[in-house]
Amino acid sequence: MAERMGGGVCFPLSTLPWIWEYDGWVVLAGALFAIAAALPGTFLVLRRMSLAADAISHAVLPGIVLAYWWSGGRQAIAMLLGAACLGLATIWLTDRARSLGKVDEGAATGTVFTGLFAAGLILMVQLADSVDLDPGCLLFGDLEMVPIDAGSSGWRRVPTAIWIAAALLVANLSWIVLFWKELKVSSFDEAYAESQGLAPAVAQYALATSVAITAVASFQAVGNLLVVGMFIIPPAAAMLLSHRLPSILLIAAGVAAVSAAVGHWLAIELPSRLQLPGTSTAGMMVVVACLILAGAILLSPIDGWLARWLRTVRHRRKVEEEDLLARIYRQQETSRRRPQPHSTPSPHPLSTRILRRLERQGLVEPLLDPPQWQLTASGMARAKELVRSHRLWETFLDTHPGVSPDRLHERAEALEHFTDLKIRRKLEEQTDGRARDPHGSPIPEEPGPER
Amino acid sequence: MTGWLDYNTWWVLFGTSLLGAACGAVGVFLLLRRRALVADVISHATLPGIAVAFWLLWASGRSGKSLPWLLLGAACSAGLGALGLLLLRNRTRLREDAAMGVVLTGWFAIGTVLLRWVQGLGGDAAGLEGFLFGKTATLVAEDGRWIALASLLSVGLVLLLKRPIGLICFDPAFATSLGWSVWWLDFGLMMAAISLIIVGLQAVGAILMVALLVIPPAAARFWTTRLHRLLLIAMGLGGFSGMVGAWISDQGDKIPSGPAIVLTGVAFFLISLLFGTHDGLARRWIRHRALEWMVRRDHFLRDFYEYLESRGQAPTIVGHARSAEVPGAAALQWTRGMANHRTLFSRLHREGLVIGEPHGSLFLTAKGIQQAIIAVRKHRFVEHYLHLLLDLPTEAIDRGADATEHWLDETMLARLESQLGVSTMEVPESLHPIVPEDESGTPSSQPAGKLGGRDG
Repeated sequence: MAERMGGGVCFPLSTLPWIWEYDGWVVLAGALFAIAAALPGTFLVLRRMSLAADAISHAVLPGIVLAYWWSGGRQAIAMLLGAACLGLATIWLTDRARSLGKVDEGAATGTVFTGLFAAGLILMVQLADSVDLDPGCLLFGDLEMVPIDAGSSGWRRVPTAIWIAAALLVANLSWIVLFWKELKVSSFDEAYAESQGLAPAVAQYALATSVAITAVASFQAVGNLLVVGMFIIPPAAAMLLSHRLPSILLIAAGVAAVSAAVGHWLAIELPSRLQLPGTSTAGMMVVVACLILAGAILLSPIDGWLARWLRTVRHRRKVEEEDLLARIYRQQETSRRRPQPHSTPSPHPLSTRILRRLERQGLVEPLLDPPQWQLTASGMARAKELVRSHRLWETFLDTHPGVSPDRLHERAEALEHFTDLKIRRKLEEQTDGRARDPHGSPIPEEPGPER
Repeated sequence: MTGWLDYNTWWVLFGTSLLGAACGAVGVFLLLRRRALVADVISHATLPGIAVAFWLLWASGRSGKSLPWLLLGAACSAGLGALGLLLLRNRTRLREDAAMGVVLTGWFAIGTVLLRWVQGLGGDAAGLEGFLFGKTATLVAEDGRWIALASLLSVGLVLLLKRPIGLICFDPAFATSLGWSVWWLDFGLMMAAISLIIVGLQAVGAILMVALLVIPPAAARFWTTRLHRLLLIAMGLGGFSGMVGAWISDQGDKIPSGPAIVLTGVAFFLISLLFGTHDGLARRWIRHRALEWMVRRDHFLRDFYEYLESRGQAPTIVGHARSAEVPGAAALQWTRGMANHRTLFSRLHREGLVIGEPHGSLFLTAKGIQQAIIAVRKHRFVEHYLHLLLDLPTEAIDRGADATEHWLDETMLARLESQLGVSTMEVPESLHPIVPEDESGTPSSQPAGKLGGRDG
């Protein structure tokens, strides 16, 4: 096995420039297989069965070996059948071990697939005389060899692998459309699917069959690695980018296709730029898919790290600004109630940075004499809302047991930023429209709509 | 292989059984943390490290096949994979299984890409994949020594931290409150798994290492629920399958050692599944049959008692060697709906509860009377309870009592006795007339016994 792998039987190691007649077919085959895997893969990931893809793709080994031995050669149909049987057997056995033996799901999967894989290895060694299979080639595939297996004229010029990939894609698409309702409902809520008479088990086994057939059909052409990667990574990326099933499927297919094209291009370009020998196209395609996933993790508008960070920053700025508005209001309130000489410096100077932001929003304006900041009309309205929310909360929490008086301010300080008109109305009702908060400060009137 | 266990074979057997035992111990904790398949991820994640280590060795002008360095590289990239897994799981919306799948395929793909480059650079890179698939040939003594060392180290680590790791398996919050860091313990556990997988790569191959970590603990769960015994049994099963598998591989013709070890493990798993003393299928089946028999017997004895009671011949616990007779035909009627009433009668005979002939007359023995009274008391206690304390109408209580009465133990009976104010061994009155129900629903002429299959 080792000699074959290193000897370059499976893949050419030399770097060749990009030739459309050649590399076009490679990209097309990679993209078709990748999309064909990403579609059922979406449902695997949704059902938290991602590792079933890896498990099934290992567990089909005895099926392939037996089919090969029985049919006496690489009969595609026999191998597909053998693989499909083993794929179903994997899911069934895992399910049995889980329900009958009460074995943890991961352990059940691990037990079943490693056992089957070991049986396959022993069969392969035992039947080595009549079965000429190479696990290395099965795993890594020879995507670069796709265009070689083709005729010379007309339709024959389309390589065999393209036909297989197209058939696979059509088959996967059609069963997904056929079982759409079952798949959709049972992926999210198995109990509900059962209550609707949708037989979630049928969808489950259809999925397992599809995964097994997809895996095996693409073994020879593109290798195990690409398929298992494409089962999981594009759907995972798509799920970070969308919440709706149809768009998740579309995005997953798009990610799969893009990583096939970019992956092959990188596999050719990168080595020649860096003076490195050629590399595995299938591996590069999966690496690109991983990069896209990393991009989705960072940049997804829904829940990406950047979006989360921006949200935090925006939120912090809002709280800063609102706190400052409320502080200016309180200072003015105090000086109005108990006129003080202006010279008394505030213990905490107002942050100029935040004041500039508020000024840009037209909420505060600078006064020249005395030199201080003053709220504009709209700033005053906003500040009143905030202080009103704060004091309403204090009043409300004070009447409720469980909040100690010295923590009233703290709680109200946090809540005031999330209190809208509706909640303030409710609070006013609950506190019987009291005019003063527990500390004796007046609760401002609700500012009118005319700002 | 010829010859009976030469020096080489001894080392291999020793190494594989130690490896199996160590994997069993570490696997128990992985299983309890519900992370069984982490092993799969880790073993795939070793590939980039092997490639990079090879390249570094080659670039520094050494032979690329220095085993310790390659294994060190593998361990580093496996560690990075484990970190990536923790990061993806804790910091993104990806769920655990998707995170594992992504790390597994992503790391493996990077490894493939790097490996191609490294192989193209020259050097004797051929056969690096052998690390992943394992040697299909038999092991040698050198492998055995490495395996023994790593196994002892990781078992030592895990057993040393047995208590805190056990704590985070069952109650992470409590472990944290005791000052243990869940993150570091998880990391230590993963490190133990990684070091085992690294040495096992050589012996059985990456994918089959998963089996060694997963199967023995899963099998051990059928024998016990106590952590201490679970560890011992998993270590025993793992070690034994390592030894037996390696031995089979040594004796047999063209049987690679890795798959042989795994299949031995699977065989132990199946045996445990069937015959495990805690939760095996055989044990569960026997328990089920015993329960079924208890229900059937109690229902029959109660029918017997109530038949006699309705004729004023109710047996009491004292002074009767045997009860008044019941015509076998009537008894057959109670068992209507049960196909095998012959086995019922013969078993009742065997247990010394009933004497007589189903075709003639039947009598309860003294023991039978005692059992019947207990059965009747249980039934009526529950009926009284349902009627008096739960306020259910008398028509509704019979079925409810049928379903519940068998689960009463001594304590509950004593409680019911005192709640209902009935003295010990007194049989309370039935709350409803004991009349047989016909299929038509009208009382038939036969005055005793409840008909209709009371299937437990």
